[in-house]
Amino acid sequence: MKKIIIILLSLTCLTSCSDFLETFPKGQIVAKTTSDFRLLLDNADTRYTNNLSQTSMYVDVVSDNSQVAYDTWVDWIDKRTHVKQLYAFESEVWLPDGASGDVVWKNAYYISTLVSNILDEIHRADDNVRLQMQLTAEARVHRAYAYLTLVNIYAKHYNAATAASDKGVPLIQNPVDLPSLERASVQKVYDFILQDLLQSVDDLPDDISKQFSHRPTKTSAYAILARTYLYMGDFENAAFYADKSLAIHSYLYDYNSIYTGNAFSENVIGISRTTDDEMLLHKTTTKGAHLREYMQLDTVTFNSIYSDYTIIDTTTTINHDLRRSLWFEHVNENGKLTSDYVAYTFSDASHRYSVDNDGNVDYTSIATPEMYLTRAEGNARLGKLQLALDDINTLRSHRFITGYYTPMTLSDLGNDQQRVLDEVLLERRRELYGKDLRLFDVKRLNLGVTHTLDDQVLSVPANDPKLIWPVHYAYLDLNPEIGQTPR
Amino acid sequence: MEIDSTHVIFYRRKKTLFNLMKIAFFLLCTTVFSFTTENVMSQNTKVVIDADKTISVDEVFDLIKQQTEYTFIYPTDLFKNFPKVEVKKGVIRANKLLSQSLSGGNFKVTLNTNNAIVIRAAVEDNPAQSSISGTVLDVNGAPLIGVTILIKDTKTGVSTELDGSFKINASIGDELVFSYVGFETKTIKIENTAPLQVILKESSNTLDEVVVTGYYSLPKERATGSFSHVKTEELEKITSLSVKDKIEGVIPGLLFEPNYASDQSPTTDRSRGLVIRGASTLGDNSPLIVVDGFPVISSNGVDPWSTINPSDVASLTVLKDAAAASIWGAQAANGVIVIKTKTGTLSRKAQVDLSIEFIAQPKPDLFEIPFASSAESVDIYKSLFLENTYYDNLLQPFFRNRYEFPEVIDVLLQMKAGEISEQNGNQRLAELSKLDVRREFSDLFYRKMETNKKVNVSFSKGDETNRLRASLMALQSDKFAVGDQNQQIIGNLNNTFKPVDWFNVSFGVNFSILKQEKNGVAIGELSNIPQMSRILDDNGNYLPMIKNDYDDSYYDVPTWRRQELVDQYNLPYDWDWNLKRDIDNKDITDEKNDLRLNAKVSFIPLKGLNIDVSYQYQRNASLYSNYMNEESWYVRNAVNEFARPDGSFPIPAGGMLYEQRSSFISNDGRIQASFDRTYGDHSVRALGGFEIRKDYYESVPYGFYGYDPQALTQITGLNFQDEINPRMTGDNEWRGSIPPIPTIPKTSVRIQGRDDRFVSYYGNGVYTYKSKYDLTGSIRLDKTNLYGRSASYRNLPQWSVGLGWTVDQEDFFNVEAIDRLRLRASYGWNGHIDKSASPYINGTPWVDPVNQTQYAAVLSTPNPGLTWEKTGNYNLGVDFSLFNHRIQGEIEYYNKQSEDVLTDIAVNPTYGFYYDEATLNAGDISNTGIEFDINALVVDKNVKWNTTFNFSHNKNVVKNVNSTSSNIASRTSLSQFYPVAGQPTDFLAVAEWAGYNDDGLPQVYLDGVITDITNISYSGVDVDKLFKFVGQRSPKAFGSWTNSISYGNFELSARFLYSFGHKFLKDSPPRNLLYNYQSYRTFHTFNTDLLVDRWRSPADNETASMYSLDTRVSNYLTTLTNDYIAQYNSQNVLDAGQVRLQNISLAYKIPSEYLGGIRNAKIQFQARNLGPIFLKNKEGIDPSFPKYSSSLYSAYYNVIRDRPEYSISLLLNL
Repeated sequence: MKKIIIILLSLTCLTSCSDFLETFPKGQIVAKTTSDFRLLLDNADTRYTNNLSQTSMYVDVVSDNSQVAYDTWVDWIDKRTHVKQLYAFESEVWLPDGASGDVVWKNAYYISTLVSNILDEIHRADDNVRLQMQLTAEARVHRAYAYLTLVNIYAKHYNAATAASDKGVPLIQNPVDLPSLERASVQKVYDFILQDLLQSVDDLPDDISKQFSHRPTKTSAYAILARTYLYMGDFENAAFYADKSLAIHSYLYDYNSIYTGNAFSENVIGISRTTDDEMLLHKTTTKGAHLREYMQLDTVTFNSIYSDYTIIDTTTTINHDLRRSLWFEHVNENGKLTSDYVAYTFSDASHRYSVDNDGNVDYTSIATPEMYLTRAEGNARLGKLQLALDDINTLRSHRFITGYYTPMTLSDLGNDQQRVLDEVLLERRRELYGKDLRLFDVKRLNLGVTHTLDDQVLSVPANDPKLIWPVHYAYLDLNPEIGQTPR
Repeated sequence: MEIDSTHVIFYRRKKTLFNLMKIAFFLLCTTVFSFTTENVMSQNTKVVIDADKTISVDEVFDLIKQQTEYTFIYPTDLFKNFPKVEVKKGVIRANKLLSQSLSGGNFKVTLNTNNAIVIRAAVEDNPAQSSISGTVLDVNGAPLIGVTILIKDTKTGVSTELDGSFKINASIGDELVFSYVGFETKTIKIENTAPLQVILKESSNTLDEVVVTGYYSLPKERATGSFSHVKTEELEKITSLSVKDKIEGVIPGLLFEPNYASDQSPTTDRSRGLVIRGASTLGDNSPLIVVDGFPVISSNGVDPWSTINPSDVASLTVLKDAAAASIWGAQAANGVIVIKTKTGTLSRKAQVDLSIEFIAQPKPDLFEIPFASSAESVDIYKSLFLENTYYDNLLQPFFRNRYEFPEVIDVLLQMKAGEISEQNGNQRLAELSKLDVRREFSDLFYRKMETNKKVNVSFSKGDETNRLRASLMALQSDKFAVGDQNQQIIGNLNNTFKPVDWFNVSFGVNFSILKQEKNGVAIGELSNIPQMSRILDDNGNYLPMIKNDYDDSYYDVPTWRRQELVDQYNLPYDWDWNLKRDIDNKDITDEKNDLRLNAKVSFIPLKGLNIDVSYQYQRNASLYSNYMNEESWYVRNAVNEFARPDGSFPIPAGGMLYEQRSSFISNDGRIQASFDRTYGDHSVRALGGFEIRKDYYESVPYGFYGYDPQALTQITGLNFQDEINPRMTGDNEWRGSIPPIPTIPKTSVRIQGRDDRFVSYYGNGVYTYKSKYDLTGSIRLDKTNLYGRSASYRNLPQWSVGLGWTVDQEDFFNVEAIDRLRLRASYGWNGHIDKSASPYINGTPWVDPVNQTQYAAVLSTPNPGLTWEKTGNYNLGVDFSLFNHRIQGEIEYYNKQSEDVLTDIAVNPTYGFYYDEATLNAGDISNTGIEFDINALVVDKNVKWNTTFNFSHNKNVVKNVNSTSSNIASRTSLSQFYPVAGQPTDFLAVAEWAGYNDDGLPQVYLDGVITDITNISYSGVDVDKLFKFVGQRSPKAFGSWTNSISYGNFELSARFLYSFGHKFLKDSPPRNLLYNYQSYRTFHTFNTDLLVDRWRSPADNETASMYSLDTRVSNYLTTLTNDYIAQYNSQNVLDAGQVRLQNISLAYKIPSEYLGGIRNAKIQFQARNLGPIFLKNKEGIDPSFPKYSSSLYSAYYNVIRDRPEYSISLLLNL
């Protein structure tokens, strides 16, 4: 009898053991099927440090879109000494009590590595081949976006003549092998970006419900292609892909419909990344970074960029351009400036995106206005001036108070290509303010930058190496082969 | 009572209950003596008995006479008082009947030619016999009943009575052999007729010759592997709260790892990490702890050692070689420490043991931290400010209006700005230099002495069917910081019930209830407050203080500005910060309860076959609770900070509560069959088993606002979603919503859970031939969940084989002096894989709060190339015993080759790994070593001197490194992540010092050329030319020497620890010193002592304690190089060789005449951790506790750890 009991006991246990080990540890997902990879590619949660949506921060502090007061600048010292140093064009940027590393660099390479890992593994998830292809394509688009950001922040701007020899950024496809981190040339990085995008675009859906605005689609892949070609100076392709993107999705908000006429903070309707119709691909600043900390303009610069307002009397001003009223703090309901500096607040969770309940990041998504502007610039440079002007008129008519905007005609600009282009570029600066893209335009358009700090005037000429972010010293320590950009 | 025959016993007891027969039979086995009468009559002579009856011996003779041809001749009164004999109906051989009848006495039986059997009393042959009496007791003084006492080489014997007494007829010069089941046999020579007191030692648990592996116990003379065993007596000699402390230095090859800069989480514990036989992995080297056959899993911050009551430990075995891992599997790659707890003693009388311990330590001396004195510090600040340009930017009104500075800085700013006269300023500075906050800090927050009071009671009782032991320990610890105290109760109960031979069942319970109050000051607070400041005013009132805390920038807002806001907006709380006030209002408790239940059922279905089914349940529950009342800074600051200028309070006034509940549940079951059989010269012992374990962990945080601990009410309905901006002071960029749980930001709130499962199969065998040759083998296969699909990750069998040869058993071996000589060899392979490093992409699931979609975040980078870490291990050993066991010892040699060692390598974030590190197969490590352990009873007279010396030597070398890096940090501060081929894992490399240059900056030899620090490129320099390897950080040779001298009732013992062959770095200037003095925010609250004698002029070239501050180095990378060189240079390296007096104790056994009813009483005084008595370095720096000012963190902890410990303890056996 006792032997039987023992045998029974043993058997019960042995037979159930295979199931016993099949249980995965709690709180973990081991990527095996397409639905597991779907989860990995849906990581856009901005509460945490690393995800597929966070790209950059403080990029534009180097640009002319950042003109800050001395005490604002002093405040950056706390945990962001590098921002302070970058703004002041100091030669040493990364100082020991600053951020624990370069979050922009880290985030972009986190995305690059995650994508490489997914691409290594996803071939096993063949339970749904269509979805498998789509996920592969999504992953590549995220990686292309990350490298496009990296190469523009940490390297010279693309110049077809020198790109093959200009040092870009390390290009890593096999991170687990810990390869050498020599920088690939700017040309190679761009080729890689284009390859990822072109290879992917066919496998993506045209467009997607805004609930999943973080997932790449054809329209957003086209948009990134357009941006890439624009930066490469290939205006034909830039206009071509901007057009393809707009063909699928071209929505623009009419600011008259979201302008309530009330005081600034109540002016803006709260929308979410799940409802924003202009959004093509959800991208954000890195965690904890807010545009308003450095996207500030002194009143003179502000008034010169957003010049469409009229002064009625000493107490009343009318803003024709609603971006003045909607985007900036310290502009009151009468359009008067109430401070020496205005701060851009439109992309943050206290205002336009107040529905998205966590204010850890600001939104710098790639959106339809940029496509209008890219198409316009492409057309302007290719001599298709009317087409260029049409896009500018469309955009402006959505941004101005009804009745205050008269569409421009070619004759207004004397049929002059340069004047049309200037209009396009000025509009681009206005509309893309707060997207952390201005530095790239500064580099691309060969502009110099001047910052004031207390009584000092700090200037760098066009193409100055100080417009390029240096690599964090800790990363150079670990892999000196990266090589620093001399400042 | 003389045992005459079994029948006699049965007769006297009148047929007692049947089940007692088995016990009696058991006694019979130990007491039956055969008689020579067997040969008296023919084997075929039989006698018929007609009915069961009890008859006298005379009647037996009549019976035999009637039915056979034999007659009897004997003195008529010889059997007068002889016990009667019980006979059963049936046929019985005559000689058997006769032998049984006479079995009780000592007779001389002869047969004469007439078939007459002559019987005479054998006593007559030995006229010198006299009656010897005495008592037999166990070590605790309890009487032992039924002990067999035989006169050596005879069949004559008696057994002890209920009170342990006995009486036997024996001659002077006879030897008496005392034997008792479960106890060691003892032989005593009779010198005179005085009563004897004999003490027998229990053998089942405390027998030092038994190796306990957790799965089975093995006599040590059969073991082939390396097992070190610590006896109860050894453990009991040391008074300590943790078993861990008790084994420091006792076990060869077990190193208590020194604490160096790489130790990033030092605790206040005196003892630190354990490493067995050198680091064989670059990751965690801590061994597995097994208690009563089951691993005790460390979880949730519960240290397994803390749940074990040292008084419950019967034995401790350390498994060091391949056999360890093949017995315990992958979890045992770093060795195993097997603890067996005490079980009920075999004693019908209950034994009660009581011990009372009082352990005290002086409070830490904060002045041991090498800081400059206040007066020196004032001078340092003066020269920085007034003679130099450091801090000049603070003069700007912007800073002066916005920030609050320590008074010394303030005065200097006013002096430099010309706002006060130099005389006035100097006078104020002179006042400040008399002030050192360490004195007030220590007086206010520290007790005079840290004390631990411990009481332990245990109860034990046992007989052949049931053994029970229960113990209870209560501990009250008052830590050195007022408000830090622990109360702990550990209870242990185990019972073994063996109703029949073939079945037994045992149950065990161990619970530990630990309540910790954590309301004391953290020593780190010292670095947040200025050295020259006060905490309370003369009347004992809280002074508003400033705090240097990067984590909470609200401390930055000057007190006066916070006060203005309170007045302006009518905020509910004042907004001053004071350290004492915060400490006074802390209410943090941490309760940790650990419960272990185990049950084991054993069957013996066939002779030699044993089947055990055992099960353990471990549950570990903890509750951390932090109640913050309205006086606490957190509450006042949070409410004020979130207040709106419109008069509303998004965070309501009132107390707050944060709690975290966690539980860990482990279920472990095992079925094991073992076979143990001897066939002639062959003995086989084999076991096989199957084990299954599930570990489940869960942790839930929660908290409340407006919490009233009395009414148990709280405020709900707060808006945790929306951002609140701007905050009240408006100075800060940081914005955010209300933390959903007080003190815990939204991103950290999460339920944590884990579910780990293991299935293992194992087998083990020992084959012995002629008790001389042993062949052992073991094999084990572990499986666990998570490793995905690939079989190569699931199945790695681990195995070992061993050979043993007991040379002294050989016929040819005939060396008088050597009692015992045994040679052993073992070899095996085991493996280890880090579960956190999976070859697959692993994601943590979350829900995106915006689109409410589930997603997975990747936290660990998959590594498809990951393989098992494998260690091949061989071990050679010699065990010996000389001069009648006066000298015993063992010598071992081992060689461990670890391949594909897994390690967390700090990797460039450019590789995109989430935590900037990756687990990789980094290379190979080789460990070779020699260990020996020798114990000698040097003097064995009135004075007994016992000495034990052990020695371990380990050579650790890294081979075939897969990853390399060549920056300065990889050879210095991060060297543990960058192994170098040919060097030990913990190598120390330094640059060769070449003095100071004309500016007082360091110079070193770079490739033989004296090079200025400013000419060394931080990332470009060739580190092979800059750094030279000068040794390793852990000792190559270490061990202990323990002496114990006893005289009469006194016993004095002392243990010395030694370690040699390693190096350490002495104090160096803090990193970033140059940079930090240029930063407006960082004011150093304390300055390093090294600054006092810093380089000031070329005259200081030889004597300067550190580089000059007069030369400003503005290039950050140069300051970084400077920091590294200032620390890692040849001038700064010292030999860490040392001898320490670890422990000294004096025990006094109180003579029994003073004890009344108490059997034994012992009082013991002890001092531990007494510091070095010999140092190889000439500067007198203790390498085990170097006090660094460069890392405040380690300075603090070394000051706390480096304290002697004194104890007094009383042990009573009732």
